Amino acid sequence: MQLENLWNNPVFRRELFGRLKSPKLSFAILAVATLSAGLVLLRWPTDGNIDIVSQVAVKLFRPLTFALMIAIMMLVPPFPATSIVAERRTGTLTLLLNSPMPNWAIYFGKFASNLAIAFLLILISLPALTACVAMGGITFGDHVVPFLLVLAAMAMQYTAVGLWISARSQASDASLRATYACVLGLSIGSLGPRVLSGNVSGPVADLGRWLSSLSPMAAWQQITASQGIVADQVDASGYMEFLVASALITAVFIFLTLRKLNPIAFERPRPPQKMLDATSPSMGWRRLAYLVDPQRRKAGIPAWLNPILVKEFRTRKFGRLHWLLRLVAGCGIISLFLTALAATGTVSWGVERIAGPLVMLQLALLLLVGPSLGANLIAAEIESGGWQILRVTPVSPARILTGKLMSTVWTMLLVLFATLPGYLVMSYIQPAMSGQVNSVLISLMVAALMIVSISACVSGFCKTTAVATLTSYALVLTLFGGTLLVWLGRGQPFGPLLVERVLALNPVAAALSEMQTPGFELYNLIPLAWWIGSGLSLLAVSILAVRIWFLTRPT
Amino acid sequence: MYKLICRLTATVFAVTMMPNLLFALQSADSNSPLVFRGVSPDAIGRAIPGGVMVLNAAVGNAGTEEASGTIVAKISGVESWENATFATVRPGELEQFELLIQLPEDLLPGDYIDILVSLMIDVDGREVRLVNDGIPVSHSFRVLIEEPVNAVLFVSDEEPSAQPEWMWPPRRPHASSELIAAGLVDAGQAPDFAVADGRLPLRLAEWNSYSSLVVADPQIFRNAAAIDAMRQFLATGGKIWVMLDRVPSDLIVGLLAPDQAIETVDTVELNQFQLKVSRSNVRLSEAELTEDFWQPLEFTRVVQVGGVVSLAIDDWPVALRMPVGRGQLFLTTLPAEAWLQPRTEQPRTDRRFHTRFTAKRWGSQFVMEFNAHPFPEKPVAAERDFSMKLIGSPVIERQWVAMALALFCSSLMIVVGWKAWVGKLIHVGLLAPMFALVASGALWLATLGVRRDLVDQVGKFQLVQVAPSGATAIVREQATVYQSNVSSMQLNSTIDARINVDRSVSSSVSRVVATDFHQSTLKNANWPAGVWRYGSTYSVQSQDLVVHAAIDQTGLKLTLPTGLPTPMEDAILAYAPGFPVICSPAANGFQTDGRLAAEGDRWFTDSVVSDEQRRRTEVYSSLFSPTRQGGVLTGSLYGWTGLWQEGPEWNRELPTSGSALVALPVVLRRPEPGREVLVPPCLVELQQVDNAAGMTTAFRENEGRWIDESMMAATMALQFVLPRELTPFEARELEIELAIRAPQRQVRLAAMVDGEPQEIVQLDSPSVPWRGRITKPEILRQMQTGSLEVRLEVSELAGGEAQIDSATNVVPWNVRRLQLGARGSVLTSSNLATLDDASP
Repeated sequence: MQLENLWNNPVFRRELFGRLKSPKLSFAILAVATLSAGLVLLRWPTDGNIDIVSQVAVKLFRPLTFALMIAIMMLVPPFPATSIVAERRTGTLTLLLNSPMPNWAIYFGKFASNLAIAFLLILISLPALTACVAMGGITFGDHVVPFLLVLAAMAMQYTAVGLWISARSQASDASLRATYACVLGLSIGSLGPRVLSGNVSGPVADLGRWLSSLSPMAAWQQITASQGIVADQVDASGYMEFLVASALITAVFIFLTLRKLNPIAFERPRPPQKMLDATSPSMGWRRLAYLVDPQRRKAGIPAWLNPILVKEFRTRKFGRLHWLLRLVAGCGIISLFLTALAATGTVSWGVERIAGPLVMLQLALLLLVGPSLGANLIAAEIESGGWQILRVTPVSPARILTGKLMSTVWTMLLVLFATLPGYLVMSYIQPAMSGQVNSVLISLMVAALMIVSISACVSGFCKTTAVATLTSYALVLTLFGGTLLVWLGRGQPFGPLLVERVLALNPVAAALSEMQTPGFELYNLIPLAWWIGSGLSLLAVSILAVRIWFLTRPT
Repeated sequence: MYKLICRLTATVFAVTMMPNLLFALQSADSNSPLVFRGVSPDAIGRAIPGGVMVLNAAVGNAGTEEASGTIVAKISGVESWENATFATVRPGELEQFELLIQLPEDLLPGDYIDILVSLMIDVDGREVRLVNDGIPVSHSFRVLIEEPVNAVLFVSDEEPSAQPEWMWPPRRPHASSELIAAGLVDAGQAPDFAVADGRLPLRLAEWNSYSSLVVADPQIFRNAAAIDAMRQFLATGGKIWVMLDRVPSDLIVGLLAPDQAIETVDTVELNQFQLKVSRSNVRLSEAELTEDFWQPLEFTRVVQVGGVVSLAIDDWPVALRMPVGRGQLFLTTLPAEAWLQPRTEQPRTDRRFHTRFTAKRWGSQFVMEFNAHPFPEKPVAAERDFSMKLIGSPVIERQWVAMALALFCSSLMIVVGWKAWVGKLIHVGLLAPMFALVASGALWLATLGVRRDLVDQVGKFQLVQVAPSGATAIVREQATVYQSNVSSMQLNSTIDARINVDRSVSSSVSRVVATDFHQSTLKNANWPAGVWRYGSTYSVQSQDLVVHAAIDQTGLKLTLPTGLPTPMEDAILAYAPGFPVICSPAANGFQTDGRLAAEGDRWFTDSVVSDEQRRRTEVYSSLFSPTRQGGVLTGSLYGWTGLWQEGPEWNRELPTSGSALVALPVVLRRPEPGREVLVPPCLVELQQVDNAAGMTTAFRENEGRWIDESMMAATMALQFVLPRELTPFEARELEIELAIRAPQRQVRLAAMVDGEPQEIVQLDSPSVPWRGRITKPEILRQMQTGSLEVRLEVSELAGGEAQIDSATNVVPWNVRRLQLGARGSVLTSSNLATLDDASP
């Protein structure tokens, strides 16, 4: 009867069928299926025998379940996070809330449809999980069913959280960001207090233990019997605690969202406009605070400056002075954080432990900023029609190329230099590292160069910025992340020589190997990775140069 | 109180007498004609943890017919382990039988163990203790467990004849034995050694108690079996010191590797001479190197090939070392008297460590080297998991799983494509779970058909080390047996083998019975269910198992012998010390250009690593670990084959799986003179040069490895040495690679040209490897003799000492690699230097 009611719920049907019709879901289904099947095949014994020592099944079950958890974390939140806010933006939410349907029916229609999609994704991974059971050592009762329960609890929890945030947000992208941040906080951040307080007794440790119950990681570790530092740190909570905590959180967020889904609550008055008196004394502080006036008239471009470079800085959001100052401030904060991390980490944990995260943080920054900057260079001009104006100017293709590229390079250098103090601290604490630090910096420069040149090259061949950005991110992530994925499979099944050759494509891996980061210390990637990286960049820039030359020719 | 004493007495009585009561119950008055006269330890036996003791048991036959029994020895506290031998005695005779007793490895030096030896006879199909006159006959004795220090077996020469104490000149000391004792005390050990008295142990197991052998009596070389035993001893890592002033050099030819030779030129008498010490860390004055004797000493002048000379008189070798297999042959040509001087100060107050003599300063390093690293580390210490990982249950073959999952994924793709085409993507939501359920069901059904419980099976790992001649091989076998039920198990060996069983097999008694010189069995009537490890060591005869290496323009071609059980896989060439390289398959063998160093996790060229290769990786990592000392045979090709079948086998058919890691000696063929060849860096040995500044400690020459960190400035004199088969060599181009990390320091690499350094490169704070090509004729000319001397200088810190003081840490430097490859051609050599295998 209940199921029948649910099936007859028009919101449920609309949401479910609407998502089933979406190619994105089909793509997600294929991604989960191929990912899980690929992981199984990579780790399946080659000699048709499973030994009693190596715990091969557990070694397969562990990464597979981890990957599935990540998939649920990534794929479940977007829909609930945008569901209510999108209705609000299109105006259909008010219609819905004023319809004869009770608000709880609307809510559960959305909630259940998202759960159905999540269960569909979970079900797709069943062949891979069955393969683990087929290997022996993994049972449905002790491993698979508890894990499926954890996945289901995660889906419920994240759906409830997403819908709550969606009900409170004004824009879809803001809601999506907040939801992902919340999911990250619940899954990873909740482990923080426990890790920091250590495995001791006391009220703080108890609180940490309780908080760690919110994270599926602890449950996952209990099910897969993972060993390691984190496992030791979070040993107090298991999957039962997670299920209970998850049910509680879901219930709380359902209650909060239902309270929010009140037609009266949405009728908010618009904040009144404020008129300021320019002659009032309080404007003195405002003038001081707004030293850089974005609306101020700009000076002329000096002859020695590339006009394209100046144009790029002036027209780009992150190129304008007030934004650049914000960027510098942000980088300064990151720099301080990295410096503190390097100082404390180098002393407490050793360079090898701290250098890896430092390099990865820098890579994350470069990957975050680089493709979005590079991909806009040409595509944005073409999309906005600005390229036609550029073509009629007397600026040569070479000057266009250098101006465009340098505008991105300077920004990237700014980001890169913001992270330098961390290395300086490291060199001071361990002077023996100075040579290696130099190599790391060169590697990161090469990485930045690669990101910029590849993105710019892609930009030259795309007509819209969105496509260029997406393609650039895909290419750059494939290059930097894909090679690290091959590294993750080192020894099983990838041979060390293959891994070394693949890692030579990634200058960040060279930096990690130079800093003797655990797992990378055996690879000799320098200077080969520099040559390859520089060569790839040169190739990309050459292609872009030819492309720009073609684009500037009269049609 | 009285009651307490009574109870204690009863308890002590029960504890002490219970074994005897049990013996009595086991014994029976059988009217056997056998008489167990007694038992005594053999003179060359030595009780060390994990060693082997030899007992001599005397058994007589008082009857008129041949009678048999089993002599059984049991160590107190090790109730689950027995050693036994069959004794068959002819009527009216008293015979002696050797009984080998394997001592457990967990015994503590300084402890005493009791060994009880009994004669068991068969009565009505039951084994009972021999009873003579109603009393069970057994003999026991107590043995002190010795320290596993350098255990020396000495084949002594004739001692000086005895004479009254008042007679002048006084009796000369027995110099050879005094020199051994002095060397042991100098090395911090007690001056105890066993005297072989003209007889050497012939069984492999017996040698386990000894780490070195000193031979001063030529008679021992008259016995072919003794020479073979010595050869095996060398191959397994033993050290043999032959005093060539007593033993003619032509007798030791059988001990040498194929590329080694030694020949006596003449014998001269010397009263006064000056020694030249080379490759020593100690600087000696001229006075310390000059000797003046009242009576002349006989000095045997020899010429040699393939040895490292430590001491010489007028460039005639006095002391030299020759690496043979994993062992070393130490040779001296000056009489032992010359090496000795009266000891003025005893190193310890303990009188057990007192000796009359000590080795002279010029000879002390040589003697110390002989006594260092007494029991070399086993070649592969962590291989035990290899055989364990072979025990397992079958799972669905990978291709079937791949097919099922590929079908699932491809079906999904087709459905998604099709439904997208017709605009009905909504159906994917229904079809995808159905496909998933079908794929899961298929996999589950397949599992039911394949998966079953563990079956009784054996997993083996063998480490086969072929002697340099290619004629014999030492096999160390580590095995794991699994059996599901308790049953009687018997391991039979038809060759000379030493069998060990995991001590955890403690149900019932495991008995090793030597039925013949080369036959033994290990029995356990109640072998417990589960997984158990056992091991054995034995030697097998082989035929020409030598890898022939030829060098050409592209590198090295290695041709494999034909006598291997299966084709060799995953080969690694370890030619020069510390520089193993990965070889890739080629016709009839392997090839390498010597650039792909085998290190870390990199042992294969395959892109996808199989389970077997993962197991092999662990073995290789252990074998070639930079922290290990010794273990790797240089001039060898390591590779994997199927199991060698000569080892011990169980008395019932058990499925057996496993692999053998084989080390084959490599013989390098001399290229045709004038033809251009590429000499890969892996063939070029880096050696220290003994100069006035002394030898550097930053480079460990024997292992070819650099130490992890150095703090001080250093000037290192080194030389690259080409294999002898490639000299004289006309180099056309040299390629040098220097990987050094020396922050805040200047590094300078220079080649020595006619005694003067000529800079190759100067680096400032280097951290990345430097590679360079050398084409300067004056440097290339130096390679003609087959070696290039270089100086590697690392400066002090840029800020000097103040920098070290102010910095929070010291700034070390370390060399990761210094190697040289050469391109050029071999020149025609004189006929005198032409080896047998060289081209005409």
